[in-house]
Amino acid sequence: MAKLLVIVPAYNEEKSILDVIRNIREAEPTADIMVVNDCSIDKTEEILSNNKISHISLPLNLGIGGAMQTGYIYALNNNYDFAVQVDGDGQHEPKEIKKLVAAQDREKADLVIGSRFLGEKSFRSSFARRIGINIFAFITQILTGQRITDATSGFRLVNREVIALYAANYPSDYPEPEVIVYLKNRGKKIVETPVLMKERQGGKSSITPLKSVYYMFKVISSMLMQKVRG
Amino acid sequence: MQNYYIFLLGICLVLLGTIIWLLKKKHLREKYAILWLFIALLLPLGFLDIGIITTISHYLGIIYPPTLIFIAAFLGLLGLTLMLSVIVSHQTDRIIKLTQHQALLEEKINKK
Repeated sequence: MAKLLVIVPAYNEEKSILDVIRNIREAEPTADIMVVNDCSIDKTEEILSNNKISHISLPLNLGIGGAMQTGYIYALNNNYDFAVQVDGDGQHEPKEIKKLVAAQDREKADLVIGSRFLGEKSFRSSFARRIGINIFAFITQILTGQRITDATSGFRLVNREVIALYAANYPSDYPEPEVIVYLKNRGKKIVETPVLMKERQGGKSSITPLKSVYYMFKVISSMLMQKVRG
Repeated sequence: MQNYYIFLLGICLVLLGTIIWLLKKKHLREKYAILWLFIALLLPLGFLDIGIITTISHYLGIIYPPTLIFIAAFLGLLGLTLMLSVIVSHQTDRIIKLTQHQALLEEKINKK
């Protein structure tokens, strides 16, 4: 049976982390879970230790890229066949992991991306957001020749080969869209499968229209740089 | 000696003194200190011989020769900034690797 590791990057997730872990255990009882605590300043570390949840504690905040890469190095060192990323904020639905695994099995893909924007029950989003999503999809298509509807989705599964690639080299700033370019440059097979995701659990989104434009600019330039790097 | 030269010499001496002080206090690594010492010693040479500057300016078609000094200084600082960005990027990669390695090692120890 294939060994599956669920990597949970967590930064200040004291409110959601226990639910996330419980849901993963219910949905994937045979999978191993590894939380990467990215130097949280709330009680995330305490909660993980008290509940005996396997975790790696980064002594410095590395951001999502550095935290996820730590998980991939762990997966490589411990011979996992597949690794899935499930964010610690509760946005990703662990019961949807099965869809990623099934898509991998069916398509023999190197990377399976869980897309919010595919399928009938796709994520409801505003007009401005849809424009942004389409721009991303367009840029991704130009750079890779493949249409990816949800390039920024973190809910994804990779095989052993990609785990090894990520362990050696994983972008730090906007890893999700960047690795699409990185893997396509290496001839890897990427597929998308529709998944359901939750809206934000708590708090208000801090993203303003101006910030969104700036974010898009930074992500697109990172993807272009990844393309140049090869 | 013109006041201009005395002023320049003063700046060079202050720069040299600062570099040596930073070296002694171990705030500056030898690798970078050499570069700064080189700059400090080269600085007066560029300014002292106005004749050379006038000749080069004339050759490049620059009407006002002191502009050449500013262009040279600007390009030098631009190169230096780029070099420092490369060093910072390299250091960041090293810090990330070290942090990950330490955290993974700690997890291994705690598991035993």
